[in-house]
Amino acid sequence: MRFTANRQRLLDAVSVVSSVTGPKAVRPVLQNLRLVVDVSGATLLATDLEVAIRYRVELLEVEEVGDILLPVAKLSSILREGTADGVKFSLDDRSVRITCGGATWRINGENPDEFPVIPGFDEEKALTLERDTFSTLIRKTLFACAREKTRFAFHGVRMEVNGDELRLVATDGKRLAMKSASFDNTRDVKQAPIVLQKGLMTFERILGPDPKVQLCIEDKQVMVKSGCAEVSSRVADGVFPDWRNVLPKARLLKAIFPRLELMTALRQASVLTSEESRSVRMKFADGRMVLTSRAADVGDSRVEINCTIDGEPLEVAFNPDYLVEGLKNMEVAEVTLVLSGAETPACIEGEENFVYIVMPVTLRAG
Amino acid sequence: MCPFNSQRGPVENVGPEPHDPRMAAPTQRRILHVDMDAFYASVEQRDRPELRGKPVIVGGKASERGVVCTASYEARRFGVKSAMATAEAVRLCPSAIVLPPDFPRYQAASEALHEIFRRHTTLVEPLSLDEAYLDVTACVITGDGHATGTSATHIARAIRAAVRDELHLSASAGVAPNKFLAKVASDMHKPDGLTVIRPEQAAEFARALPVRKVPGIGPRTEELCLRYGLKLCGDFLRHSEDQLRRWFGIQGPSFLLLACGIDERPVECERERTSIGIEETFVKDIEGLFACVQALGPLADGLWQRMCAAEVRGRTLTVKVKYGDFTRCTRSRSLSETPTGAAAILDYAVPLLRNTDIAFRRVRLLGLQLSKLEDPAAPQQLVLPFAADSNGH
Repeated sequence: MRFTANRQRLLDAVSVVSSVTGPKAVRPVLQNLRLVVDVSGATLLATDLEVAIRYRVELLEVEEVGDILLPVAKLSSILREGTADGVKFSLDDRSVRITCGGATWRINGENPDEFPVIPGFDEEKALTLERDTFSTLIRKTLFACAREKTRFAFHGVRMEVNGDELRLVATDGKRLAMKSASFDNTRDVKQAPIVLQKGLMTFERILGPDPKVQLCIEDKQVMVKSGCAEVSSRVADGVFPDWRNVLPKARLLKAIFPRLELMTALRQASVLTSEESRSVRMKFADGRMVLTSRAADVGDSRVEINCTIDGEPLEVAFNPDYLVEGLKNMEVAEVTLVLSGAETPACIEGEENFVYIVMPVTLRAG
Repeated sequence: MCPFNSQRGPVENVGPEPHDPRMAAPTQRRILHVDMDAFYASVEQRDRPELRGKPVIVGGKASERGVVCTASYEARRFGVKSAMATAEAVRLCPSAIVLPPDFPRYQAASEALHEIFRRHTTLVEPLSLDEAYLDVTACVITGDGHATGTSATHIARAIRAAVRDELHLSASAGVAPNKFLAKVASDMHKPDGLTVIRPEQAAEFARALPVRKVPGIGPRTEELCLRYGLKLCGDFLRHSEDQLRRWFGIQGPSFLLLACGIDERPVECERERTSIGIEETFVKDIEGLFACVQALGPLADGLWQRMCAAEVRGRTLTVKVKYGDFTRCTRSRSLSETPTGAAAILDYAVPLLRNTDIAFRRVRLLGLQLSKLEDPAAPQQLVLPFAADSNGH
């Protein structure tokens, strides 16, 4: 193997690829990336066995093709520390000599046969979407899924295709976000998989200048291709709950707010909530909502905001973070908070094809 | 021994009454430790006359690897002790009558006992159903240091008499200036005994006690004590605080105080619950990750039920494992939120369980405990009411 690459371009590629290999890789060999050089360029591959990536980079000159495993962390440090525009690689048995300007590094590589096989993208079965549509769907749902890996189904985002509509739903059990968008669909997709959180994050990361993205939904994995990158993500186990079941059943109170003002008020009140139980209390009366909060031994707050109220007077409390995260992901000037009771689901409406449901926090006793 | 078949009268070791009750320093506390004699077994013998005079064991079945909760004094003569495997107890005493515990009945007797305590003071610290500390200082000495005319010994006698006459059970009691000595005293003339340690006797009395009697010194620390030549509490007095700190860490200096008969721990009437847990000893040792994970399911259900019943929530989960060879290990983690159901408990517990040696060792016992409990009045995040079978698991 012997080639010359543009240092910055190769560094950008390695940076994207390295997000898949984690420091806690399941097997030491997975802390490497696989570098395959052919006459027309290089392919970088990495996986943590849940998410896999295949990234194509153009090279300036290829003198000899080759295939080797290199430690990701060292390779990206070398490319970052290099100063010249061009960087030269040459493989001698199992060690790679990297030259950039006046610096030369030699790092030991490993046998590429040790690396898991990374599936290729099947364009035959792919759907084609607008890049911006896909990225919006991910951004407006991914934030709502559970951080804990053990919560199987809640640690991912459900993806479903109904006719010409693609829908993503995510929940951590306490709030739920659903966003859908229509696209020009030519295929019948029966699967509705739960894509792992890390898979979706990687999908979003590879979205490049190409305005189109290809999506391939299979039983065991979901793959995305955008420009020079392909990512496949394993599908999570578990049963994803039906979001329609938790839509507010009654609409006891509706309050219309300017979105940004509501966010500001919630942030103001959230300053004085306790760490263990983030809770802000809401009271509605006379065209105003009054937010109150209290942090034990620290202090309390009271924030007033005007709104249009329709319905019965109701007192309810929420974790302000959950409301703010939902509001942040809406792109409308006005939102409606719909309450069905003090201990039953509430939702924020306003943006088309976006559903955001939040469970309240119990009111402090007394 | 149950009073109904006791051949001898109650034992009292009260010594001569002081001439002037004000001999006790004004700040001197008067603490009682009351401990029922063979409580569960005595309740059974009281309620079922045919059991009186016979060796009775209350505990789990021998065939299910149960252990002895309480043995009547007739059974204790054969060497049967609490916490012994029932199988072993039956081997020692083949004529023993083994009964399963009937907690509601013991609970009722315990409530009646507490009612008797409360006639004298509200400063009662229960240690278990049948054992409590009472601080009777205020009944004996008034706020300005004068004696009220009654004495702690009188109160102990009154309590023992009420237990005998009203509950038809027997209690042993210790009277001392602090909890440590009161507890040692109540144990000295068991069953049906009363032992009084006067403040001026405290230091001398403590010095002669074996180190194992000191609260905080268990079998392992005792071993350490013996290695350093500390057999009796008095032996502690030969060493400096610094030396003891080197040997026993921060506990060292507190051992020295206790060894001198000084114990400032107050009688805490409202013991705050600090944890809630559940555990199970299996009828047969279980083997393999799968079997353990399966066994954890009912424990998670049980813990959740107890959490709901006690209305507590907590942020630290501990998994306890006892292996076939009786060695044990625990694994804990703090949680980002209190578990909201048995399934959530299981979610957190399974990775902890994987972190033990269960995959290649036989397991005798599994337990789950929730600690770092939260204020139950604090607002609680509710969960979305998805159908029960689709909560993310």
